[in-house]
Amino acid sequence: MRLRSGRRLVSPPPAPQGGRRRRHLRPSEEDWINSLPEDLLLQVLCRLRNTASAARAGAVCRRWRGLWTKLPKMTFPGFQPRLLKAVLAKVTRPRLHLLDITLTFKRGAQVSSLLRAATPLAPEKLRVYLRYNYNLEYDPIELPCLDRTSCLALHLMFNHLLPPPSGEFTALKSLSLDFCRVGIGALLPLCPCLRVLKLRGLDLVDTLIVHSPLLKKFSYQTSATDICRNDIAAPVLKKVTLEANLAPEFSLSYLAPMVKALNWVYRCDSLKVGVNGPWILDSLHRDLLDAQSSFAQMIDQLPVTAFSKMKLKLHTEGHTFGPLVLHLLGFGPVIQELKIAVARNKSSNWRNENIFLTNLEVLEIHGLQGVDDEVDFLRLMLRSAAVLRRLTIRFSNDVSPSDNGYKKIRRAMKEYSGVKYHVHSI
Amino acid sequence: MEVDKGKGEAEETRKVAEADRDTVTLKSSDGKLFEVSKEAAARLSTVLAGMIAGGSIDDNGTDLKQIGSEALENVVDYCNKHANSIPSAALISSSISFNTAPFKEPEEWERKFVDRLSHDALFDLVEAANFLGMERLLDVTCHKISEMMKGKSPDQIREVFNIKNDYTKEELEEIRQELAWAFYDD
Repeated sequence: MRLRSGRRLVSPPPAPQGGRRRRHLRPSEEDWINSLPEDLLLQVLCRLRNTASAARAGAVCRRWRGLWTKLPKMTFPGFQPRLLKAVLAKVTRPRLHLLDITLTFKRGAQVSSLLRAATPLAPEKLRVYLRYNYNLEYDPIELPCLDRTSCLALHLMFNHLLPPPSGEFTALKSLSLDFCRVGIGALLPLCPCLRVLKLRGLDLVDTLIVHSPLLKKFSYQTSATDICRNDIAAPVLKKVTLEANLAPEFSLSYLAPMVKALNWVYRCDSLKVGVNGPWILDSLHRDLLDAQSSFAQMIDQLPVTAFSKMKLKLHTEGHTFGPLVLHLLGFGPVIQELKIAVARNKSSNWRNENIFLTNLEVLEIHGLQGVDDEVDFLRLMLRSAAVLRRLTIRFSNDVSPSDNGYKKIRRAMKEYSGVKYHVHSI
Repeated sequence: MEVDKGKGEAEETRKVAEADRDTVTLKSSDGKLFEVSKEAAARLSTVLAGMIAGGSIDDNGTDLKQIGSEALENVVDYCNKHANSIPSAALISSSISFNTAPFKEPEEWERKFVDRLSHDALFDLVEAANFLGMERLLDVTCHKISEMMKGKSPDQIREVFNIKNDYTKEELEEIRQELAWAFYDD
C-alpha cells in the first residue's frame, strides 16, 4: 500500500472481529500511543518538526529509544556543522524524505563538510539555511553531487557556492537558491531534469544564462546586482517571473515559445515596468518620454508577440498615460481583454489618433477623474474596438455623479449602443 | 450519516439506487452501514479510490472489517466535511515549491474536528486513516497527537499518554548522555 507522497503505509495489525476492539480489550487508562505500529509512531514524532525533540522523547520508554534515527523527515534548527555531522552519522534510515537544517557557522568549509556528510542520507528534499554570523569568512561552499535529491533549497547568506567538479543532479526537479553567489550558467547544465528554478537575492551575478530543456517555472528576484545579460532558452517554460534592476547595457535573448504567464518587473533609472498575466505595466517614474523609448526597446525584445489579455497599472505622476497605452496596444492587435488603471493624468489630444483593436471584447478602465483627456481617450478606444462587448468604468474616489466629467463620460459611452457597460463610482 | 438497518425494503432499494449514483456504502466491523460521497471517498482515500475504480464496492455495504463503527463514523464525517470545505491556498499550492513548510498545517475546521475526539477515538482514527490510505486525515490526526507531546518532558509525555516508564535509573542516565546533543538546539 503506497500513499501519494510515496510514503509506505504499514499493514494494520490484525483486528479481532466485532469492532470496538479497544473498548473491549483495553482498560480506559490504556497506553494508546504504544498500540500504534512503529511507522505511525514515527509519523507522530516527525510532526514535532524538531528532530532533537523527537530524540529527547527517547527517554519516555524503551520502545522509543533511538526511534529518531528512523524518522523519514528530519528537521534540525540551529546547530553547528560539526555537532550536526556527528548526529547525522547516527541516522539509520537509508533514505530521508526530508532533511531540513539551519546552521550557525563560521567557515564555509564546515558547511561543505556537513553537506558531504548529508549526501549518503540521500534526502529527497534538502533545505539548508545558513544563519547570519558576524565571524564568518567568505570561503566558498562546495555543493556535493546530490544525485538522488529532487528538491534542493539553499539560503547561503551571500556565500559563494561551487558546483561539484563531476557528476549530475539527475533527480533534481526543483532548485531554489536564496542569497548566494553562484554561476547559474555552470550549475544548470548539471541539472538535466529541472522543472522549477527559483533564484532570489543573488549577489554579484550580472549574467543570467538559463538553458534548461525541461524547465517549466522560472523566477528571478533580486535588487542586489544589476543584470547585464539575460539569456533564456527553455522550450517548455510556461511561467516566468523576473524582477531585477537592469544595467544600461542590458541585453536579452529569449527562446521560450511556450510561455503562458509572464510577470516582469524591470527597474532602471528612468523606468519601472512590470509585465504580468501576460502583461502589467506596473509604474513609471521620472521622465515619461525617456521611459517610453527604453520601454519600447525592451518590448521589442520580449518573447510575447501575441497576447490575449493585458492589464496596465499606471502611475504617471503628472504625465499623460495615453501615448504609452497606444504604444503597447500597437504591439498586441489580438488583445481581447484590456484593463487599465490610471492615476493623475495630464491632458493630451486624442482626436486625431487612430488605432486598430480588432479583437478587443472586454475593456476595463479604473481611476478615471472625468477630465477631457480621458473622455477623448475613451472615445478613441470605443471607435477603434469594433467587437467590444463589455466596458467597465470605475471612477476615482473624488468624482461624484453630479460632476461634469462624470456626465461627459456617461454620454460618450451611450453613443456606442452595442456595448454593455458598467459604471462604478462611490 | 448512518443508514439504519431494518427500514422498509422500498427505501432500501432507493438507497441502493442512490448509492449507485454518487455515494458508496461502507460497513464497519460491527456491521453498521455508513454512506459517503463517492467523489470525496475517491479523492481522500487511495484504498477506496482503488476499490471504486476496481468495481469492488458492494452496494449493500463494502466490508471494512478492520474499522469499528465509531472510527468509521468519524472517517465518513471527515469526508463529508472535507467535501463541503473550501480548500485554502496553502492546500492548493504546488507541493514542489520548496519554500513551504515540510508539513501542511491543518485547516481550522480540521483542528476542531480532531480536538473534539477522545484519546481512544483519535488513535482509532489514526489507524483507520492509515488503513484507508487517507494521507490528509493521517496528517491531521498525527499532527494532533504530536501537539499533545510538544514542549513536554519525558515525564509529562508519559502522563499524557499513560505510558509506563520501563527504564531503569542507570538506563535513563545512559540515555541522557547519549542524547546530550539534543539539548543543544534552540
